Amino acid sequence: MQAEKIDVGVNGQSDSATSGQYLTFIMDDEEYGVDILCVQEIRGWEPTTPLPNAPSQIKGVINLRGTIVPIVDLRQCFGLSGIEYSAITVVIVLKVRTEDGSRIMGIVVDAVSDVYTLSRSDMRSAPDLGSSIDTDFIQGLVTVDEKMVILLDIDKLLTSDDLPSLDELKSALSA
Amino acid sequence: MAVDLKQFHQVFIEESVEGLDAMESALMELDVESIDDEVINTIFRSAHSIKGGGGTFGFSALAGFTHVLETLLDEVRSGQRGLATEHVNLLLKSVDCMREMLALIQDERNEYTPTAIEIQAALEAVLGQGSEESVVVEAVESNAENFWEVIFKPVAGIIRTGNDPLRLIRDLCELAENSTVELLGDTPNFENFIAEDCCYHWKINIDGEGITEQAIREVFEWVDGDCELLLNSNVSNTSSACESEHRWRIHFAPYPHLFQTGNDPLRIFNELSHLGEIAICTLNTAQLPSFKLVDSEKCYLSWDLELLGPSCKNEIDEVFEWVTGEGDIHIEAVNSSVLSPVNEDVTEATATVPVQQNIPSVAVAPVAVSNVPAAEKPTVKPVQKKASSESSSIRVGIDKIDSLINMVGELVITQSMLGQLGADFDMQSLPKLIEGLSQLEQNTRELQESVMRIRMLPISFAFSRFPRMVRDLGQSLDKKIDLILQGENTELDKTVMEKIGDPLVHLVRNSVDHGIETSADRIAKGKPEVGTVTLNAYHQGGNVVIEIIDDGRGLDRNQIAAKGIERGLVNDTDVATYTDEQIFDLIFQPGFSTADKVSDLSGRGVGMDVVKRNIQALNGVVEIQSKIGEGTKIRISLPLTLAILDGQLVRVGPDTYIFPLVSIVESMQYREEFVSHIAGGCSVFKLRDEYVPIVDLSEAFGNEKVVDSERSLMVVVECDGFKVGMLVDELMAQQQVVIKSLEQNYQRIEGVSGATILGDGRVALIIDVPGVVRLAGADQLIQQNTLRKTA
Repeated sequence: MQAEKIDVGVNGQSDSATSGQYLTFIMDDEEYGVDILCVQEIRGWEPTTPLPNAPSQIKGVINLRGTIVPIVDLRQCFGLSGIEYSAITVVIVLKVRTEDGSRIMGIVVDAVSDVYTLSRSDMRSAPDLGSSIDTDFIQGLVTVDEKMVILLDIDKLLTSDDLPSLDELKSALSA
Repeated sequence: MAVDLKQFHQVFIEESVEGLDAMESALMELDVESIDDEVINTIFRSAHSIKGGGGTFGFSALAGFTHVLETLLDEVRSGQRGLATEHVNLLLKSVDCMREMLALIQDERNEYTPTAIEIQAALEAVLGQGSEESVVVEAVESNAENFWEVIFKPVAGIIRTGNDPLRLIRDLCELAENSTVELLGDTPNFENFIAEDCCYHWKINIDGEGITEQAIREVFEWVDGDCELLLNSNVSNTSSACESEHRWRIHFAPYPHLFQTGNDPLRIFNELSHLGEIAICTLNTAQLPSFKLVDSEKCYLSWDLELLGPSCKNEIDEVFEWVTGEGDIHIEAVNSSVLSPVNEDVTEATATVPVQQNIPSVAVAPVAVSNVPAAEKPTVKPVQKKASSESSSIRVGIDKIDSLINMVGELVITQSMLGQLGADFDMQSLPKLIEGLSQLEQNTRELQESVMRIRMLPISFAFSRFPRMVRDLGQSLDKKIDLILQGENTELDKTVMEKIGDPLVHLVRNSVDHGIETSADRIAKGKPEVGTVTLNAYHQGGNVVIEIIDDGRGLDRNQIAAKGIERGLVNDTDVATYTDEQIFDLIFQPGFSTADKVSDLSGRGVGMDVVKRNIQALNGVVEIQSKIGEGTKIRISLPLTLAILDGQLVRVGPDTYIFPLVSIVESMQYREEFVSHIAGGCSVFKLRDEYVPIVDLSEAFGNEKVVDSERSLMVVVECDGFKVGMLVDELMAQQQVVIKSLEQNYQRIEGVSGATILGDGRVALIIDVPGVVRLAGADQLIQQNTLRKTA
């Protein structure tokens, strides 16, 4: 399928375009997607240098060709139990837009899954779960092959201070 | 293409800016009561060089302006007039104005600014009202023409004194509207010829409005005593007759085989330039074939020249004598009053016919030398780009460059040695390889150091603007202020210097504006009438500390606290427990005082948040110490350079950290028996005769405490003038590390000033000693220590 170029708005959402490509990855049997244009590269896990007094999901920093890049464990971000890192653990290096430019961050995920071209009409907006749970970081939900994929707005996810608890989110979603 | 003087413009501008700086600082030194000759001379010299340069490069506006300034200065110098404070102010304003004009020149605009016209008028007024002998050159409006015949006979050794007679003559010609130069004297025969001797003298006829003898003498003042100068005014009016012939237009289109005849057109032009000044030289490349077809032995070029100077066409003909048969040569006189110098297009129709009606009958009739009429190409002024390229440059001592070149040489030698080793390597040459590598390391380090040194500039570059600023502010606020500069030779990275300028200006202005009281207030408080602002810079550890100290009214803790409570930044209980420093820190809050600009206190806060932000952006720290009624001291601590650090690698648990080497006092074995635990969970180590608080690095960084304290080492570091012991597991190598920012992709981490990449590609964190001390809470202990010490 011909990949269509999508126009990414300031807040990372593809407003004007009708479809875009998403890279999906697996975490704890759930499939998540991120805008493929934010993905800089996919690497294998390598030991990091831990940062003092950092929150537990910040695994440390690595040297990415001369740039210091922090690595975030997305599992711990979402309140999932941590896993043992091995040679097949995947780090997705993302370019995150912030208020004052962009920064590069890596996220640790279980496995990379697929690339889908999704049209905007397939997407359902994130359910409003009331004020107790922040769903700002969810760009939308989409069903691919009868399976739900959660599309993440990484700009919001990785720049927000308090990260969501996925347990709560899941229970709220399944309810 | 015109003779390209443009390449020198940047140099001229830079030199002029330096000259203006020198002028300014000399003016600041100037005591109007008793004028120091040396100071006045400095000012005069600067003005003179700017005028000369401005004239040479055709910046007539600047040259004209500076000329008036120079006239005034000359009168002061020769003792014809004194100076009053308002004159100094006027001179300072002219310095500013010249800066503006230089900025315009940078944009390739040669024009007067409105202020320049104003100031020039003011300067002329000063000149006019002063001594009667002075003649205001620029102001003379009369049509009376002055003719001067100047005979300039320099002594033989003039060139060795660094003077260039031709340059002087050019300067002289600039005074006049029209001028003719005649070269007199004989070249000695070749055996007796000494290249460094000047064996000629010149006769120069100049003609122009309002040229005074003084102005002419001024041109030659650099060679005063080295030459014989004869001045005759209103000599014969032949020069007036020749007035219009002094400008010649020459079209020279050699035939393609010119080079084969052994002629070099450039040599001809060189010869021409001895006759006079080549005003315009346009190269026509229209005949130039494409690169593939170029026959390097053929001449495809033709030239259009405009020559100023010789009054007689024969002289020009002589120059072209050798090439008369070899190309088309047209020489015609141009009436300068009719043809504007550059833009006038000579239409092709009139090209071969000399413009007869413009030539007075007395003149030597211009003849087209060549029989073959060639279409004269119109000279088109190249479209000037407005290239205001702000390429900043740095002046580096030649010694620094020399050492750099030496090092590069050594590096190349090492490299070739290693290359040879590698080409045919066996295990036996391993020691050689190791030796070579260590040599390479040394070379690299030295090279790096020298490159870094090039970037280091004395802080006087940043300080130099303050004397003027404080003086101006003091005058406008009617306060008497002494500015003391200390440690001006402290060196600082150029980038840091550029960025610290604005915050410093702000802080100094605050000190003068809000800190120092008016003279009356000061006398009433029993302080000396003249307030003092001190700027002090020095190295401390790996930092440069800049202090701005005033003996003004100081900060009022209660007032600031009240304001802070009012704005909801702090509450009552906070205020009671806060130290003075913490309270004073409030003034760095954004908009802290803008809400209430009327009170004395408020002014102190305007923009202080910006100051703090700028300093923090440089990884610097700003602190305030103040005592009400006694003054304020603002202390800025900046890293020496932003790029590279000498580091000591240490191991703490599984991780490697780096201490800035400069902060380390000593390292030693940790010995439990020297440790005493004091209340509050802190321990101190008895280090000879003092007690040093201990920080467990791994604990401070939120990891597990080092269990085996018996085997660990203690690195004693200096932090804000106090010693702190840090526990580490192992001391590793010392090496230079390149600082990488953590903030770029993450955020600032307390206790860490940055990261670096080690030789094996891993990331190591660089320890920010004061930050770690704060983390560990040891600063409380230090404060208590200070209390005890001072008590």
